[in-house]
Amino acid sequence: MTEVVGRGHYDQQGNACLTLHLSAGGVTQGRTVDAIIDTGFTEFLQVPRELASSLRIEPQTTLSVALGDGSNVVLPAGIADVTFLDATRSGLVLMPPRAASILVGMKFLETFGLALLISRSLGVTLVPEGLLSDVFERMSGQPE
Amino acid sequence: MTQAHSPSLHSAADLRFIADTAEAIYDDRYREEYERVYPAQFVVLDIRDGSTYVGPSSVDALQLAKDRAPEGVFHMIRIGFSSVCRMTHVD
Repeated sequence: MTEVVGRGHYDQQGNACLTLHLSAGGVTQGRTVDAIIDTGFTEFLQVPRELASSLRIEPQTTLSVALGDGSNVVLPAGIADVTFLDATRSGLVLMPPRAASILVGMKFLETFGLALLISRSLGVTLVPEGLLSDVFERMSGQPE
Repeated sequence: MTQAHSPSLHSAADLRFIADTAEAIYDDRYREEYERVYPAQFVVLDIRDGSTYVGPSSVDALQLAKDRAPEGVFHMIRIGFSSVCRMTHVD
C-alpha cells in the first residue's frame, strides 16, 4: 500500500503503540516516548504526572472525564507539543495523579489527519484520513 | 470563593473544588445561552471572577484563557456535554 505514511508497533504486552516526541512548546528539548493507542480515549494524550513535570508540561485547567463505568472524574490537564511523522501539533494532555501509561487518544489521530489500521498480519499502520476510502476500495477489489 | 488560599491543580481536593465552583457559576450565568449559541464548543471558566473563554477546540479555548488571564484558575467544559472527553478508566 503506497498510501501508508507511518507505522506503529506492538509492545511486550501486545499493546498497539506509536513512537512520538513530546515537549512543552520549546521550553525543554522534550523526549521521545512510546504511547499506547487507546481507542476508548477521545482526547489527545494522557501523560503520567511525573513525566509531564520533568518536561515542564504544567497542569493549566481542570476538566471532567467520563469513564467507562458511567462515573465522572475531575483531572488536571495542560497543553503540549507532539511531533509525529515530521509534523508538530499542539494538543490537550491529561495528567491523572496515578497514571503509569502514556496513552494516545482518537483526537490525536484527528489532529494529525490520520486513520489507523491495526491487524496481527499487517501490524499498526497509519494512512492519511482523506485516503482511507481509497484504501478500502483497493482492499475490497483484491482476491481473498 | 470561600477558600483563603489559591486552589492548586496538584491537590485532589482542590481539583474537585475548582470544578464544582466553575460548574455552579456556569449553571447560574452561562449554560442556557452557551448551549444555544456555542453548541459542542469548549469554554474555559476562571473561577476567580467568573470570566469565560470560548473556542472551537479544547486547545483553542485553553490557549485563549492563558493568554488573557495568565494567573487564572481554570475549569474546562464542553458545551452541552457532561464531560470534556471519555476514557475507559483512569489508572
